Amino acid sequence: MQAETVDIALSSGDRDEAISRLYEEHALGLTRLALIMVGDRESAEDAVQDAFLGLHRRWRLLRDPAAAVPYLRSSVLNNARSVLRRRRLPSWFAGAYDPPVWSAESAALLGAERREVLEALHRLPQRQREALLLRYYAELSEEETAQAMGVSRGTVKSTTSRALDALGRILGENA
Amino acid sequence: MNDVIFRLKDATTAVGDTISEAPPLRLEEARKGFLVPLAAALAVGLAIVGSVVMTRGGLNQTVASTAAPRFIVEAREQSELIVRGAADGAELDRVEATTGWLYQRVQAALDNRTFYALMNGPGFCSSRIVRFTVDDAGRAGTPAEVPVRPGAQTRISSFTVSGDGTKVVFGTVPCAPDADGRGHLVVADARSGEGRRVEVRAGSGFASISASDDGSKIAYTTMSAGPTVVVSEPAVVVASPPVSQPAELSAAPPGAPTPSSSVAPRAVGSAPPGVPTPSSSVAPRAIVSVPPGVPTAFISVSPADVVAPSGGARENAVIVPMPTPSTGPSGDVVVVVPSAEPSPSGEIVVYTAPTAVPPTLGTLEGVSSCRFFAVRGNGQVPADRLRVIDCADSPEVYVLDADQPATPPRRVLLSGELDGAKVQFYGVRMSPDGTRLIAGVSTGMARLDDPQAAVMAFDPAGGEPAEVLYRGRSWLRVLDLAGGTRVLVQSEHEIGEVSEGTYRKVMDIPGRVMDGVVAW
Repeated sequence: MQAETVDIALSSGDRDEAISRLYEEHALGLTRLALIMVGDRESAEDAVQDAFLGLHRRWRLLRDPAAAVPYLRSSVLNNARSVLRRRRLPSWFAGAYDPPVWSAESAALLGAERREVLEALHRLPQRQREALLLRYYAELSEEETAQAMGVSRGTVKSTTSRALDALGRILGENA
Repeated sequence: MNDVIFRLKDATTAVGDTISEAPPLRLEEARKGFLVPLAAALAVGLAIVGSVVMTRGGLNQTVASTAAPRFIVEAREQSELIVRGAADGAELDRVEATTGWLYQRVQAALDNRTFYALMNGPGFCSSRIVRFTVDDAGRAGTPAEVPVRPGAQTRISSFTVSGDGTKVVFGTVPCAPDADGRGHLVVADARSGEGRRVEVRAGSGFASISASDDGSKIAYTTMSAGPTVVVSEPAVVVASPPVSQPAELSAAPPGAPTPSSSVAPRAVGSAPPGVPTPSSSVAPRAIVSVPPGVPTAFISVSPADVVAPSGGARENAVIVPMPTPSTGPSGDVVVVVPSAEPSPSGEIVVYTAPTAVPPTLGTLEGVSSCRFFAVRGNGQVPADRLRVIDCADSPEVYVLDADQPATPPRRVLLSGELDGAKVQFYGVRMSPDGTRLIAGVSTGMARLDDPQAAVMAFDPAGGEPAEVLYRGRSWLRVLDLAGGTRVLVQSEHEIGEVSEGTYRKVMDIPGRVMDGVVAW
């Protein structure tokens, strides 16, 4: 019986080079995606760094090099969720943490209308928010979005539809 | 709608464009910067889990792969396996068993395309392991037998496959009246069937077996051989319906080993397929309540030996003398007798909800090591009854290093707390890298009104908790790991996935899911 994991047999030097190449190509886009999710640059950069760190550790187990980017997307999503989840903890005794993107200081930079959209976006459930960002910001296909979120393509379709409805309703309420 | 999409794209692009470059790549392992704020998280973490160390990334130390499994294979119906989609549990294909054979357990290789199933044959001593693959659409191929054989007069009780697919690890137990009574753990090459046998104490069978990805680290749990439970803390133990025979509770013999934690009995109807059940198995094992401070004692309760209810307690509860010198303040033991009513499904036993104990015993702190599930108006069970849906596993886990042939299995006693309450254990697995034991835990025994559950990683060296991987449901049983990052769990009557700190429902499932009944 053959081993279930196909080791792509790269040396550590090859691995570092491959990951560096992936970082050059995708780090900026992933950081921007993470920024929209978590609201501050430092957390976003850390989420992306951590995703690449995870890929570096697990490179040996990567069956298909083409799976690296979907892995990174999924990992960034997970890391962003962790940031948001942990951010809720200090608010129990230190007040809510308001990241720069959502705070007043960003208003001048983004404009009131865009801030309204972002605020509406962040009133959506996490899964709906992620589906919208992956589909319409990252411009991933339904299949790629499903892969990143760890759900089925049908779920992406229905979640996106519901999210757009909800976003439209919230923006309509504010109009 | 197009306007909404346009505005969404515009706003998110504007935010994204505020970053024009990413910082240099840093691959050093020590970086933990986005634990923000560390002090606050640490403080809250300490408040939540007591001595448990919460570390960022949760599964980082146990991770092997994050590829989402696409398929779940289920062996509940025994006559056939069901291949389901892992996203929503939708049925994709069925694999019929050979005539006269029944599927008992199923395991998945790391690729989530190769599955293995344990089958029991017409004779009690006939068992075999088969392997089959599923294609990208979930269609299953024809099962082929894996060339592993249990010894003479033994059968395979449980098994697992190493993540790399090179090793099959299975536990054998005696199945003939004149068998030698010894259990064995066999680590065999999946291709040749050749392997190493280790004699182990397996009682009446192996409850679960799991292995690291390379098959070098193995964890297994066993089932107790008889209706003996160990009580070392307040607990309520359920006995069978009373009959008019005198009570006969026997203490452990002098010098008997005394575990420091209770060993959970199993609920009726939850015996895994293929596991021989004693003739009394139609009645649940005894559960005994002992006040705090009572020294540990082995208490053997024969279901037919419990006295009829007497006054002073609830209608279905009886007070019987505790037959050991190490009694508590009252010297009494509460035995809660289950209802004689049949369960709606015929598989789940219904017990009267024990809500009080005699004042001499103090306050009821918990209800056995079984999970009771409140019935919510389905009309099938009276509202004052609870269903047993699950009983805790033994905290005893045995760890074997397959690369050290001379080293015998090592006993690990898991222990941990959530919110200051001691946890019970529901399913345990060896992590892919062999450095952790991943277990479902719950405080349901101690916190009847507000049970808390988690998936925790334990250090196999001492059984101490190392990480909380997920927390957020009332009940969780760990069923399988996929690469370490994705944990297949049962939560009440759902099968779900725990991954990176979140829970996702996969599908509904009625009743308790035993170890090895679903795999991905």
